[in-house]
Amino acid sequence: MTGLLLRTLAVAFFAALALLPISWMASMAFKPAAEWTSAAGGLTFLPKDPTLNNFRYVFTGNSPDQMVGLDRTVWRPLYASLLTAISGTLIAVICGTAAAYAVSRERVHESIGLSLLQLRIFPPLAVMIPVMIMWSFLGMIDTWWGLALIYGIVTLPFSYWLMKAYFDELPREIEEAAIVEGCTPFEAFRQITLPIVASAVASTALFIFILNWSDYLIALLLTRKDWTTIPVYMNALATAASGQLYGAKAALGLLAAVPPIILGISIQRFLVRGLTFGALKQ
Amino acid sequence: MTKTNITRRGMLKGGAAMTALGAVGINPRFVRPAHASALASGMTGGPTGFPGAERFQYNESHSEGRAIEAMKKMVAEGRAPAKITMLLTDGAIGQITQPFPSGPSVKEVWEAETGVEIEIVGAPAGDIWKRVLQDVTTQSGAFDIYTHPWNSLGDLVEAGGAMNLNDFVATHQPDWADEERGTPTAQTAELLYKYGGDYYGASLDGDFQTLVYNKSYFEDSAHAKPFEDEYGRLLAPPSTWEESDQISAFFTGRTGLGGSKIYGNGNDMAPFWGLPRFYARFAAQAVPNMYWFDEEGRPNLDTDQAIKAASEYVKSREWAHPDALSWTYAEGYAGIGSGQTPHLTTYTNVTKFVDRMNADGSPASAAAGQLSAYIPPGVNHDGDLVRRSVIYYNITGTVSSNSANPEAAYLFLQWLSSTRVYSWMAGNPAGYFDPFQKANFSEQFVEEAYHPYMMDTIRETIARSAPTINFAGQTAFDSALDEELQAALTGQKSPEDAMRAAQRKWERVIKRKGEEKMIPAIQASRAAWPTLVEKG
Repeated sequence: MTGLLLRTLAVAFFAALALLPISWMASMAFKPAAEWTSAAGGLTFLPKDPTLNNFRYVFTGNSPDQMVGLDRTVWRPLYASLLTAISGTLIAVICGTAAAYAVSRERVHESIGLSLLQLRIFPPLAVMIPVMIMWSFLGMIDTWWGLALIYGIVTLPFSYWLMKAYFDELPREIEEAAIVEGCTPFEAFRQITLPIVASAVASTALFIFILNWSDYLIALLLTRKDWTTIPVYMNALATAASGQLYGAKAALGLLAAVPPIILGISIQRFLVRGLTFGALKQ
Repeated sequence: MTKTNITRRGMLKGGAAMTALGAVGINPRFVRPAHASALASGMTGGPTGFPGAERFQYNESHSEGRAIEAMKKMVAEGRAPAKITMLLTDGAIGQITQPFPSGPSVKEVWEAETGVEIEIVGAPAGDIWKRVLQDVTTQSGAFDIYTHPWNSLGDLVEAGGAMNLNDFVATHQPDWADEERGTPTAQTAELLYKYGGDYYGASLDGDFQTLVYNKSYFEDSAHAKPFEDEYGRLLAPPSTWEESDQISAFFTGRTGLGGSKIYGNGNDMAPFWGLPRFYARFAAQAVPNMYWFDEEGRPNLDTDQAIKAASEYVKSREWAHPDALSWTYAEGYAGIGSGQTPHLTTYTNVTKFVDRMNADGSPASAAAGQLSAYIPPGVNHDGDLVRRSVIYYNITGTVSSNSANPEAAYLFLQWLSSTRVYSWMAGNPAGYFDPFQKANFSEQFVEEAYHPYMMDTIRETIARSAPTINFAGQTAFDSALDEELQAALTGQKSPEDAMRAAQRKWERVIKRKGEEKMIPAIQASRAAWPTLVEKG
């Protein structure tokens, strides 16, 4: 009994510790400007005078407690984030799944996995400087396809290695039986294998979407104005009069958590299977 | 037979020029007579539609008018771009894009008169230099105009990112150094617009660090009497850093507006933002100045004077808010606005944002209506009082060396930074371009925004301001010093050890950059220092 209590307390303590920054952000999102920092007075955990002005500010560009209106609202960065994160995820998942299947089944070009991993070996900034020069030369700076393409490229290793682990665990006899029954190899992949690994594809897609959605560095370096994403927009939330707009940033942080949560809930039934897929050796 | 090479860029430029020409010629928005009828007699351009607009209008004999006429000529000849792209700190965009006080915005006036669109790409003040370097490195030519701290000008020139503007300046004659309307002194013009004797930048700011204090605290007998009893002098704005520290010590722990606890030292002390506070103390440690480097170009950081300044600066943390090491200028503003601090040295727009009333008539801060300003404190050297402030950050516009349209970019920059348009823009509370030209200080809108008490104070502060570092290597110099000062502020090192370490780092920077190049730049920068010394 004491052991259970101690375990529960320990879990509660660490959960509270993990949730502290998120709860601070949630609280900040509802604080008026005068409560954002200790400079303006006492700083409290909960808002003394809760308000929705921070949300209004990012969506409309104006707020009763801000002297200066925002030059840009959140709508365009929201659209840019959704478009580039989804496109990048599709690129990575489609290419990664195809490559993983081919290598897993044909046992050829197995070194491709290590080649893909090179993208993740170096510090991101070291990789991004030449990418920035190439993208600039190709006229892909501040374009949605330029950003989606690099998202697809940098998350391809995750997609490849995750999917390869799933395919390696899947008995090839199932596909061979389908081929014996008259399917072409592609039909066997599409009609037999893919539905079986759908849960794995879903969990891989969610993982990659979150990586793309939360990226800051790549979007900072490869966008300027038209296609800046939410993390870059969030960093730019500052005015001359107020400096950093902590409340607006927190409100945006809460909003930014919504799409991954919706995506996670919508594919929840695949997730549990997907996350445990291949966990046990045959 | 002549072979004509048609390139993609050539076609695009031609198309852009035709579009611009068409816009001026066809679009009713650009039809001249309607606009001209609203202008004052003899004026050919400028804002209209609000009382006092004529103060910002111009004709061909003015700097702005020359820029507009040259731009229109380029449009007519098909040499103008359809668009000029400007990289700008987020906090200043509003002054260009938001109408003030009513009628058109600065951007709209330019676009209406020339037909050339201005695209502004924003970046946070702390990140803008990285964005500039990114563009210079990739040579993308994405921006025609960069804006960045004045301190970075030397590094940008050395990196080949800024275009030499000598020819444009000679041709179009900006009024930057105009004796009646331009910079307060010819020396200031040299400092702000030139690097190594050549024109490279156009100042769009006046970041001369200025002392602001809460007058009601100083006049309150509940504070004044005990201060006089303790220190044997009146509670008044400080003449020296010693007096400033006494005031900070005295106020710390006392009760202020709304029952708030007062922290006597309101200065932001965070990395980067706190650096000018140290520089100002340092500069006043000798007569007429304690220079950052000696005449041979050797750093002065390990001198007794530098160590004294660092020790005092570190000690001043005792009277600052516990969070001060993470505060930027904005928290400094909030601190004096809430009544949490009695005085601070900061950017001049503090009064524009803090000491004002909201649209509904309510005060924008607890301290609204209670602030005042004073010339910077210094050090008394046996009767010679050396008061020093510094110029630090100061948004500066440069024409990108990768711009496909450098002359057009320059013309917009000249128009924007000339004394009529700049005075109009400086009065706009939607951003932090601050007044620094003579014309700004006599402008009603600027005075209303910044308050009359700031006008003389800023002028006098400029006259006592030393230049922080702006030659090549500045980023490395400032980062090294900042790192060591933070180590001292957080108790990791003694001020003496920190300054000796910073000295070694600065010496290494000079060696790395090449003494033959660095020493002339260091020696040249000494000429821009003030020489004003008072009898104390």
